[in-house]
Amino acid sequence: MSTAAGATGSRRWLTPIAGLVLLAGALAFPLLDLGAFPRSLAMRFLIDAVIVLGFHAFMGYTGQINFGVSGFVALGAYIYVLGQTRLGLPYPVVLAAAIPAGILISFVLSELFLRLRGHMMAIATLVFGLVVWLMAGSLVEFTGGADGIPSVRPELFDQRLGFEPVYYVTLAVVVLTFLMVERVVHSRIGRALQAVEHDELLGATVGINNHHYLRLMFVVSGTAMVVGGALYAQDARWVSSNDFSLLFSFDILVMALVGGVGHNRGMFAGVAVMMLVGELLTGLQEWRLAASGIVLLGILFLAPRGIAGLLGALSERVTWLGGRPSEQSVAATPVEPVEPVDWRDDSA
Amino acid sequence: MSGLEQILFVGLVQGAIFGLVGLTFTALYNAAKLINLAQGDFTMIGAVVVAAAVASGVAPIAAVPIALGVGLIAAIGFFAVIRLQERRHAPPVTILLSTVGIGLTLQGIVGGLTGFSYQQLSPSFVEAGALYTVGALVIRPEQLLVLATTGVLVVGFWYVQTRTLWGVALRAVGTNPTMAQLCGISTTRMVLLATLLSLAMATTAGIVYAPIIPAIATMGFALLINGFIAAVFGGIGNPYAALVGGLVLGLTRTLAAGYVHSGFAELASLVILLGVLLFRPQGLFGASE
Repeated sequence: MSTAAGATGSRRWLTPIAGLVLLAGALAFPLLDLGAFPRSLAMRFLIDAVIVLGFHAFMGYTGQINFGVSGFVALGAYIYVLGQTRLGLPYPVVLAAAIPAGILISFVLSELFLRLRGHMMAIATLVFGLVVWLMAGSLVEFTGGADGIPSVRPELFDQRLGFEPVYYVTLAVVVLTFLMVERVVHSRIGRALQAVEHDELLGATVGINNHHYLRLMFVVSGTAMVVGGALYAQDARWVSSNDFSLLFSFDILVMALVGGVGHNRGMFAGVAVMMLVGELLTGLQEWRLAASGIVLLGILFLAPRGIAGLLGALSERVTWLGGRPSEQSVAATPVEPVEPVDWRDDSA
Repeated sequence: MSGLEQILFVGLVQGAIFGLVGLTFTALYNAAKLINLAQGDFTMIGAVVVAAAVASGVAPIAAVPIALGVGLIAAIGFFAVIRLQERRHAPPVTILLSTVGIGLTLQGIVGGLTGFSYQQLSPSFVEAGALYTVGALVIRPEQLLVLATTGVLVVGFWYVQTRTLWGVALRAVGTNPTMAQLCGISTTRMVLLATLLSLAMATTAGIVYAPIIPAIATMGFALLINGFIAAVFGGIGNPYAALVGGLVLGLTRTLAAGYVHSGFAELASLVILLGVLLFRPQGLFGASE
C-alpha cells in the first residue's frame, strides 16, 4: 500500500528529512516577509491542508467516502464566527471549542451515516452537505445567508493578532492533524482498518469490530474538517453560505485524489498542485472552466492513483534499476486481472 | 395568482424533466455500474445548443438534430475517456472524478462559446404562443411537448430493454458482466450502447426543456442533483421508479415554493431524500440488491 514506508537502504531516511526540511521552511516562512500575496497563499495552503488531511483520514483508510465536506467545514466556520459575535466568546476559546464541537457533530452524524456503505454513504453525506448549505442560506438572520457576515479578526486581550501568531497556530493544527492521522494508521488501529477496508466480513470473522473503527475514523476526519472550517473563517473576511456549496467538497475531493488516496503525505502535494493549477488558470477568464476540466482529466490520466501513486511507481522503477525491490513494492505490484473477467470491478 | 391545479401541473412538467434525467442516470448506472456526474451537462447541451442555434437563425426543426448530434459527439468522447481509464484499471473513484472532469470540460466549452450567458428560446419553437385552457388550467404547448416526449422516451426505453435482443443483452451485462461475456455478449459494445442511449435521452430531455427555462452552460449541476434525487428517491436499480421519484420531487418543490417559500423547495426535497436514504436506502420502489 504505502510505498514511501517501504523504501529501502538510504532512501529510508529521505522522507523524514524531506519532511523536516519542509517543516523548517514552513516555520521560517513568516520571517522572509514576502508580501501580502504569498502570505495569503500560504494561509490558504495550510487551511486546505487541514481540510484535505481530515477528509482523507476517512476516505483513504476505510474505503468509504464522507462527501459532506462542505457541511462540516461550514459548521466549523459558523462556530467560529457566531461563537464570537453572538456568544461573545474570546478567540482562543472559540478555536479550542471547535474540537469538542467537531467530535460531537461527527459522533452524532456517524450514528446516522455509518448505517450505509459505498455509493449510498457518499450520496447521503453529500446530501447532508447540501442541507447545511441550504440551511445556512435560508437562516439569514442568524448566519447572514448568501450575503454573508463579516468574519472576526483574531484578537487576544483586545490586541489584534498579526500574521505570524495566526500563521503559527494554523501550522500547528496542520502538523498535529498530519501526525495524528499518521500515528493512527501506522498502529494496531491502522491494521484493523486495512481489514475493514478490504473485507468487512472477514474482519468481523477474526474479531474486528468494524463499526468501532469506522466510527473512530469518521470522528477523527469530521473533527479535523470542523476545525479546518474554523480556520477557514478565521482567514476569510466574509463568511457566506455560498462558500460552502457542493463545489467546495469537489475541490477537496480533487485535491485528495490528485495527492493520492491512501497516502497521508500525498495530501500536501495534492493541495499544492491544485492551488497552482487554480492560480495558473485564473488568466484564462471565460475559458477557465474548460481548461480546469481538461487539466483534471489530464492529471487523472497521467496519475490515476495520484501524485503519491505516481512517485511510488517511479521509485519502484528506480529501485529496480539500482538493486533489489523493496518487500512492499513487490506486494504492491498489481496482479493483472484476466481482462474480460475483471474489467469492470464494482468494488467501490 | 394561480390555483392549485396550475401549481400541480407545473410541478408535473418539472418533475417529468427531473424524472427523465434520473431515468437516464439510472440506465447508465445499471448497465455500466458507472455513476455519471456529467449527466446533467448532457441535458444542458441539449437545451443550450437548441436555444443558441435557433437564436442564430437556424430553423427550430433543424436545431433539434444539431443538438442531438452535438450530444452524441460529446457522448462518444465521454465513452472514450471512461474506457481509457478502465483499461488502465483506474480505481473507481478516479473514474467517478473523470466524469466530473468531462462535465467541467463540456460546461467550459459550451460556456466559452456562449459567453456563459442565458440562451432564451422563444416559445415559437413549438407553436407561436398558443395556449390551451382546461377549466382554470392554462396549458402551454411546450409543456405538453415535455410530457409527450417523456412518455415516448419511457415507453421506447422500456421497449428496447424488454422486447429487443439488444435490450436483453444490455440487462445481462448489467446483471452479471462475466456471465454475459461467457454467453458471447461483448460488454464493451453493450456499455457503448448504454452510454449512447442514456446520454442521447438526456440530451433530448434538454431539448424539450429549452422552451421552458432560459438555458445556461452551468445549469447541468442543478439538473444532475435533482435527477439524482429522483433516481435515489425512486430507487436505483429500477429506472422507471426514477420517473415516479421525479414527479414526487417536482410536485414537492412546486407545492413548497407555491405555498411556503421559494427557498424552502430545495430544503424540503433534500430532507425527504435524506430520510429515504437513511431509512430506506433501496428507494421507494427499489429491490434490495
